[in-house]
Order: sequence, then C-alpha cells, then structure tokens
Amino acid sequence: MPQHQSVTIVMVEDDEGHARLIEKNIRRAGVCNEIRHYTSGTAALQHLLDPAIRNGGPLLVLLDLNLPDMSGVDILAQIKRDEKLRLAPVVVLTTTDDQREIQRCYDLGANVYITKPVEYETFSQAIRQLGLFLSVIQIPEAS
Amino acid sequence: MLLAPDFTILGMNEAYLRVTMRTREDITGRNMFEAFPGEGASVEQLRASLDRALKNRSPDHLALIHYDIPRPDGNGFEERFWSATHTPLLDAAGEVFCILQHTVDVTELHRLRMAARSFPGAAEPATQVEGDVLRRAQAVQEANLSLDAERRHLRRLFEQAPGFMAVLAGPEHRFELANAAYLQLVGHRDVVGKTVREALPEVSGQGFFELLDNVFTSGQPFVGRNLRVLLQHEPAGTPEERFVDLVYQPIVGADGTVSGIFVQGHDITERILAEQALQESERKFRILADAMPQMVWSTRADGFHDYYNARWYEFTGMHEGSTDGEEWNGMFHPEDRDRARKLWQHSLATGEPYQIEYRLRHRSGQYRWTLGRALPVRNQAGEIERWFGTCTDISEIKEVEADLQAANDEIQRFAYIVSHDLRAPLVNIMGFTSELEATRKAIERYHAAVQDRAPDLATQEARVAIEEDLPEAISFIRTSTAKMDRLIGAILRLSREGRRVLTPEPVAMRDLLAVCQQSLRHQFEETGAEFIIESAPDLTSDRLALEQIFGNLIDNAAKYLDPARPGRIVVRGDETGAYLRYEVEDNGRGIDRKDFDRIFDLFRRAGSQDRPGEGIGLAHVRSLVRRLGGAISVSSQPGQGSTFTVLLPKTLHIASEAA
Repeated sequence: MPQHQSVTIVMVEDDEGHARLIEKNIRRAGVCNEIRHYTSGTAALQHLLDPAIRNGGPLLVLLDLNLPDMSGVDILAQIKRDEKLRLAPVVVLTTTDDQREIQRCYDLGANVYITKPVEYETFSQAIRQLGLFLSVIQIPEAS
Repeated sequence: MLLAPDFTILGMNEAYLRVTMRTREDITGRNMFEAFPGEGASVEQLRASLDRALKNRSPDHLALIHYDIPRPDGNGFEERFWSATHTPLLDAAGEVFCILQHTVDVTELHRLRMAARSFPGAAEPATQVEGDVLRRAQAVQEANLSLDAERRHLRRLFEQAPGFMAVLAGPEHRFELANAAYLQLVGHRDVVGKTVREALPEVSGQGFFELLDNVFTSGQPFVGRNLRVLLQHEPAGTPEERFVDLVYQPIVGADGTVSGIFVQGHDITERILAEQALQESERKFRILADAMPQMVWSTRADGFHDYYNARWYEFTGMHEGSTDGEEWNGMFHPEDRDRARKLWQHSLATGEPYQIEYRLRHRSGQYRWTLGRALPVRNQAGEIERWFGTCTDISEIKEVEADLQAANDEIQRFAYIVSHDLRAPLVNIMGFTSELEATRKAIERYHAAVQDRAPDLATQEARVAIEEDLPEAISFIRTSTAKMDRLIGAILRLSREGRRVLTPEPVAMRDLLAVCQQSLRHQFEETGAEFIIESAPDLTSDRLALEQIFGNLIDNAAKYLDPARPGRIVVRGDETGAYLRYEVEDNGRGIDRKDFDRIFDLFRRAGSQDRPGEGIGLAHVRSLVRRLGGAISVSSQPGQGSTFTVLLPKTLHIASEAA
C-alpha cells in the first residue's frame, strides 16, 4: 500500500521577488504543502542529493533556468539522471519562451514548462493551475 | 626605250643599246633628237609619230623609217632602217607621263628589198623578193603590234600588281620602270630615269644601295624579310618608317652578264605596326599585371592556363610555367580542389563569371584564404577568346571576418541575455504592482468602512491617495512596464532572427507576395486600397526572411496610406545582373528626406506618431536584407508616397552571408 506522504515543494529561484510571487499564488490556490526555497543551483543540488532527501518523501521541483551559479538545465539533467530524484515532477519556470530551450527541457524530462509572463494575471493563473496540477498528479512512491 | 613627253631619254634595255651601238651613260637623260641627230625627213617622220602618240594617247606604229645612227668611232653615220612602235604610258590622271619606244632594226630586210628591186632582168624574182621583204616587214609590224598589245597587258599587270615592282638598270641602278605600288611606297616621286641614289637620297646609309651593288656584282639574288626602311614621303618631310619584304633579282642577259635588277616586294608596314601594337599592348599588360598586388592569370578559351603574373609565382614559390594547364588545381587545399574544379568547369561551359573562395598554398607551405575571380573576354562574334582571372589573398579579411563574426555572435548573445535579464525584474514590477493594486483595494474597502462608521477619522487626503493617486501611479507603472516588455520582446526577436540559420531555397515570389496580400486583405477591403503585383521574378533565398521583409514593407505601406485618397500599393521586381531589384511603392503620406536613414534604426519612427508601432519593423527588415546579402533604400515625396527599394542577390550563397 502506498504511503500517503505530503509532497514537499523544492523551489530553485534566485529572484526573491519571483519566489515571493510564486509562493503567494501557490498559497492562494489553496496549496499548503511545505515549500523549500533555494536561491542558488549549488545549494538546491546539495539539498536534493542529500541521502535523507533523495530517499525521503515525494518532491516537486519548481526550477528557474536562469541561475547565477549554473544553468537550470544542468540541474534538470542531474535530477533526471538520478534514479531516485528522476521520479520527482519538475516544473520549469522561467522568463524564456525560446522554443529550443523549451524543447530541450522537455527532452530532458521536464514535466511542465511555464513561461513567467510579465502580465501578472497570466502569471498568477499559471501558478494557480500548478496548484491544481499538484492535487491531481499521482506522486509515485519514492521507494 | 622610255621617253619623257619632252623626248628626254629615260631608260632603255640592253637590246636597244646593242642595236644603237651606244652606252646607257651616253644617252640617258638626253633629248632623243640630240642623242640621235638625223636628217630632215627622218627626224620629221619620227617626231610626227611621237607627236601622234602623245596627242592621241594611243600607240603609233612606224612600219619603216630610215634613220641613220652615228658610228661609235665617230666616223660618220651608219645607214639603218627601223620599224618602231610608240606607246604612250598614262598616269592615274590619264596624262602621258612617258612614251615607250619599241624599235626593231630592219636594215637587213630593207637592203634585201632594194637589192631585189635593182636586179636587172629578173623582174619576177625581184618582185618576188620585194614581196617577201614587204611581207616580212608586214609580219614584223604585225609582230610589233601583237608584241605591243602583250606588252601593254603586261604593263597593266605590272602597274596594277599589289606588290611593289621596279626595274633598275646598270651598275648605278637606274629606274627603268616602277609600278604604282612602288611609287606609293616611296611617296609618289618621279623615279624613272634616275639612279636609286638620286631618286631616294634618304635611303643612303640604310644598307639598301650596298645590297643592290652586291646583287649586281655577284649576280646572286637577295631576299629580305621585315626590312625597316626610312622613307621621305614628302619632300623635306620627316622620314617615315616602313617595313618591307623584298627580293632583288638580278636580270641576267644571254651572255651571262647582269644588266639590271628586278625589285619586287611587299609593304608590310601595317602588319608590322599591328604586330608591334599587339606586342606593346601585351608588354603593357604584363607590366600592369606584374605591378598588381593581386595574382593575375589567364587561360585559353578551353580553360588551359597559360599565363600567370609575377605575383603568382612570388606567392606560390613555383617555377615559371610549372602551374600551366591543369596544374593550378594542385596548388589548392585538397579539400577545395574538387569544388574549385567543378565551379571552373561550370564557368567554362556556361561563360558565367567565376568566383570562389579557396585556400591557396603559399610558398611557406601554409594555405591561405584566397578570393578567385575570372571573367571571359569575348570576340566580336561573342565567342569567348580568353579568360582573365585574379586571385586575391583574403586571409587577413577572413581573420577580420572571423573576429567580426565572433563579435557579432557576442552581441547576439548579449542581446539575448540582456533581454532575459531585463525581463526578470519586470516580472517583479508587474507582479508586485498587481499585489499593490490588490492591497489598495483592501485599503479602499477599509477607508470606505471608516468613512461609513467613523467619518471624523476619514480624511480627504487619505481618500485622494487611495482613490486617485494610487490608481494613477499604478496605471503609469503598468503602461510603462508593458511598453518596456514590448521593447525587450523586440530586441529578443531581432537577436533570435540574427541567430537563425538561413536556408536558401527557390522562392516563387508571386506566391509569397500573394500571402502577404492575403494577410492584409481585411485592411485593404476596409480602406478600398489596391494592391498590384506588376512583376515578381523568382529567387533562391531564405523564404522566412523574404516573408518578413516583404510582409513588413507591405504592412508599412498599408499602415501609412493617406486616408485622403484611394490607396495604391505596387510591387515590382526586375533583374540587374546577379541581383534582383524589388520596389514596394505606395501613394501614402510619405517620409521626410531627413528621416530616410532614421527610419531604419531600431525604435526610431518618422512622421506623426498616430499609428501603433515600436519602430522595429524597418530595423528588422534592414537587418534581414543585409543578412541576405542585399541592401535597402527609400525614396519618398512627403504627401505623395514612398518607394522602398530592396536589392537582393538572385541566389543566396551561405558562404557569402554578411552575418
């Protein structure tokens, strides 16, 4: 029987403002899951690759591609290479709407790609839908 | 014998000298009647015949004339009978310039005739003899006439012969005859009767007289080719250079002695001058070619390389001639040989100019980037006679190009990164502005409640701040951010477009333009504007870029039509060499001359800003046209319309892309 553990959201976002806006909108969507925020790729990877986390409860990764220390694409690749972590859905959230980059993220195994629009209504709409997404997806068991 | 119209003896042959027992020196140049003084009747008879010949300009025959000639020993006269023909020789104007006297000594015949007549008692035989003599005289005269006709025929041939001819007599080479071509050569001067040294004094010292002397003495003919001679065409004029091929043929008498020289030849000055001009032209070409900083080569019509200038040998370090024929190809980088050979074969087959970039082996062993070009030279019939080509060392340009490419790539990356990074704060500004707006609404509700329940706490200041100032500030932040977002979006699109790989393909322009028209159909229908495609030659280029170029130009034309008159947009294209010139013409509001450059700059617009737009379209168009290896310009009359002219290569070569 699968255990019902609540999903932890790992947010990798260097822009504090974006992080705040994302969090606000997630909360507004009625999602109460724990959100862990990392502002650098290094810190995020360190956390994710921690055995306790790798083998721990289900995760959802919110990933910005434009990070100061590394490309979000590299983090995505690392997550999807890891036999445990690759089970975690990855939502790519970035300002780019470059088709090649979007395609690359999907090729690497990203589950959802959301472009952060400047238009706030669209933005909050997308985040709120993410809450919906969280509630419908079946997070596979880590074990 | 030749006589001048005043009966001066000009010349004669050996036979004449023999029968008259005189020497050439003795009688030449003297008056006929002085040289041969005679008795009244004889002189009258001779003079009458000569006068007739002069007057009638036709030959006159003297069947028999008694004319005694002085004995050479000075002891009186010898009785002679002659049969003579006087033939006047006419010059180009039809005037008699001399008289040819042909004389046959018939003295023996005459004596025989007289003897027969005085033979007593033998009337019959005497008559017989006399008849014989007369018949013979008649025969002589007929022979004379026929000889004369033949001589005249020969004379005409001689006169009209295309080559120059002259007959020189005696050791002093006195002109007996000279034809028109000869006179033409020496400049229409009177030569007959004169010695060569008299007639042609300027030739002295040029070796010709000595040659004649030698021929006369040795009896050996002389054959000369390409001889240079300076001749004075005008009296006292500057000697002119002529070139001749000639033969000095000794005239040898029956006794084996040389009596004169037959001169015959051709004036080859024109040919020699043409040859010299050609050589000079070739020499100049070589000097020029060698002086050029470029390598120059040339091939036959079949593409066989037979010439390279000094610079080529200097660059390649090869020995002269060692790269002739097909060997040129071996000087290329192995990876470029096939491509170059194919392109060259294509040019040879089609006559199209040859242009290629390849790596050429420098004498150092390094391969250096080189631009090769060649053009055919055609003859009057349009056939290719030769190819002339150049090789230009473009390795430095290539390096600069690579640097430029790198710099350009960097700018593209920069624009891309900047536009991304500028967007991130905008997301915050917009996001938190919305949050502010939400907050404001909360405050507004609170203020309304306060006003409702504790009106003394509600201030006018707070109301204005909440209901007027905050919405105003938020509205400005939003419109500005939205504009900034559009601008960033434009930079991003431009930078993306600049990084897009162009793919040339054949494009049917009429179809492409029809698609542009279709997308504006609604607008055209609404305003009643016409859209006309006059001509639309096809090209091989990047379809997407062309769609954007013409889409933007036609869109602009439609956007800036003058509502005061029916709109009319015309697109036409024609060929200019390797390029196509396309024009998009409108009768819209036009553009001020001072804005012709400005409109192609990013974010710059012209005229009244009453139409939506960010000033991106034309900047984008120009950058695309340049990438396609073309150019764009505008001409316009404000209030009448504008014409955008786009020059595009018929075939886009990716290697030549000016990225």
